[in-house]
Amino acid sequence: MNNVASVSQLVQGYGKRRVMTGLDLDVGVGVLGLLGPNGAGKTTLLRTLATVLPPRRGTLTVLGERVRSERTARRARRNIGYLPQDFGYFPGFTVYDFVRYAAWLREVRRVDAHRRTLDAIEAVGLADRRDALMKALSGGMLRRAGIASAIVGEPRLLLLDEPTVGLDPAQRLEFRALIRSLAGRAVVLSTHLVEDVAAVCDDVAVMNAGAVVFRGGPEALSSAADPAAVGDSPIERGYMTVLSGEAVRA
Amino acid sequence: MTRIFWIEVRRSPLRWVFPLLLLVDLAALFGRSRYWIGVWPQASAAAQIPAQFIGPILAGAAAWTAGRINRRGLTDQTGAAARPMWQAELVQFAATLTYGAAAYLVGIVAAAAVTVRQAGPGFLWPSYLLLGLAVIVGCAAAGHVFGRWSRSRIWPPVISAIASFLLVGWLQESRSFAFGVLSAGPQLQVTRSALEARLACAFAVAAVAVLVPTLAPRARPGGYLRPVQLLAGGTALATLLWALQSLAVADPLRVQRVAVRPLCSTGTPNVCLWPEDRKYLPEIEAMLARIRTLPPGMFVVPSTFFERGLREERRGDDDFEVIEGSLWSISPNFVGSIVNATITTFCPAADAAAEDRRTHAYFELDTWLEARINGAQRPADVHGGPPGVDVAAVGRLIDTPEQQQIEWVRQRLTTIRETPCA
Repeated sequence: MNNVASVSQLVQGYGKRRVMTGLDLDVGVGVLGLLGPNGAGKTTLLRTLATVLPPRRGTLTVLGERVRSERTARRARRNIGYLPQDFGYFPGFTVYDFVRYAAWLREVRRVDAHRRTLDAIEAVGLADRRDALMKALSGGMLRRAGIASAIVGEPRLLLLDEPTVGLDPAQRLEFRALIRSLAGRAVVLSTHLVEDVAAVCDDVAVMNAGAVVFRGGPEALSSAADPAAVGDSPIERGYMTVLSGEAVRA
Repeated sequence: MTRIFWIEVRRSPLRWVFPLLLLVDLAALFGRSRYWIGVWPQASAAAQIPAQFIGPILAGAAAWTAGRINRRGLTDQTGAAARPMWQAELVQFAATLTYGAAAYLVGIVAAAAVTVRQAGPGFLWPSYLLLGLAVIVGCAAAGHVFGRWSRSRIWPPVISAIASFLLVGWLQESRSFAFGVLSAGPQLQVTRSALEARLACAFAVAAVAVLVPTLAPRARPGGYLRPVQLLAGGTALATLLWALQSLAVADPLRVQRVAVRPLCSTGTPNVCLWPEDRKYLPEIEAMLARIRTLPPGMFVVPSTFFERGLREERRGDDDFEVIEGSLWSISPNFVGSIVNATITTFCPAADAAAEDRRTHAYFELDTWLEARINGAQRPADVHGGPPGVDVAAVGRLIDTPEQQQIEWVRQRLTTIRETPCA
């Protein structure tokens, strides 16, 4: 099945404020970059896909099953890895404890939990730091530990919200390599850094004001660029063009 | 779940609070008094008392620990978990409780260790220990609920600790709802229904603690939970109400214990004690030896003195009770038994002045007998004494020659016996 998750006619908001009205999005295997300015609704969409935030209206489907109750949400969650933007951790936990705890939360079978924990830690390159306390890790290592916690159940849908925020350039390069290594599953990578998208994504969705205003490959986004638009690269200019077009359209 | 439980135990913030819990437990155990050492029921009550101090500390620590998920920003991660949230809460709460119970257990073991040498056969009474456990579980659960529900960092621990301390104290005062005792003579026992009701209350609050993320939307996002919330909320509320109702209709916390075969000394007079009070026997036998040296022919001494609860209430008006380990609390009952057996007739005096003289003579005689039986003057820390009597002066009489004491006693007995009746 290529379509791993989708939202249809999604209405979402906080209190009386609506942040999206009638959004449609399909997520397939590969890395989907979710671009957009602050407040565009990227985090809200990811929280919806993660089943943390139920749709106010519209539908959420994960692996062919519509999520409409706690029971169906729990089934979906077994296949979802989610790393929030400001992901939390207990500073007194070791990397192993943290990832093992995440495996337990995802209901990874007890007999597999230890091996899968080690695999996830290995996959993010923290095998030699598995007994280090979380509070002793650098920003980049913390992110990697966070990703290990998100991939530990070998989820078919991986949701990463602004995972490169706070990383230095070298750490961001490492991170991109890590994302590329996750090929074979559906990854949604929310970011406002266009160069991350260009480097690792197969597909791009640009969000603005709670709506998807562009969907296509990174090349398509680059080719949408207005030569007069601001930006240091074709994809940045394409992104700015899409956003300004949306602003004009709005 | 066991592995995750041990991770929680190893990494819980409670590990920093544990030394404090331990310190408070042992200070409350040994710092208040030591009279309980050597008497199993008293040691059980003493081991239970620290729960009333470590419970509130545990409530504060539980609130702090439960708030970690909010404080550390794990709300979304746990909200996206496939595992039912109550299981994560259960593991965290169980780890918190483990520290409280471990500190409590150390106190219990210490109480047992210092008691076993003097107390002889028997062991700590589980009913008192379970009362303390109910306090610990209830306090930890209340703190967990507040800490998990509130977004504040500071207030939940502070309020949980203070409120638990006040509540435990208030319940203690209310008697009907008390969750603890301050001392425990062998003649009393905790009733089963009262104990069950208190444990039910504590575990009902614990159930609410485990269900709090399901009950409180603030503690976990996710409108998918609504039907589950109604079910969990209804169940928790019903359990809590049932537990409170059980508490309201339960028997009194303690009732008189059915008499057992007593431990009796030899000789005449002799004494019969609850077997649990055997550590007092040598000192009481010394008192009996002093009773045997009372001036012959002046007093009638009962053949046996009984500890309270060993025989029918009707016959036991002057039966003694060892109050908080003080043997001076026994002698008034010995004196009462002797005086009542010696002076068997009583009538209202002819006038108030005669009544006053007779009463004063009774009081002086009682005071002298008390000092004589104890072989010492009343210690300064034993307060009270009959009104209008110079207790110290009467007490000093026991050091005067026997003949002088006999004359002094005879005068009092004469005053009592020759008071004209109305």
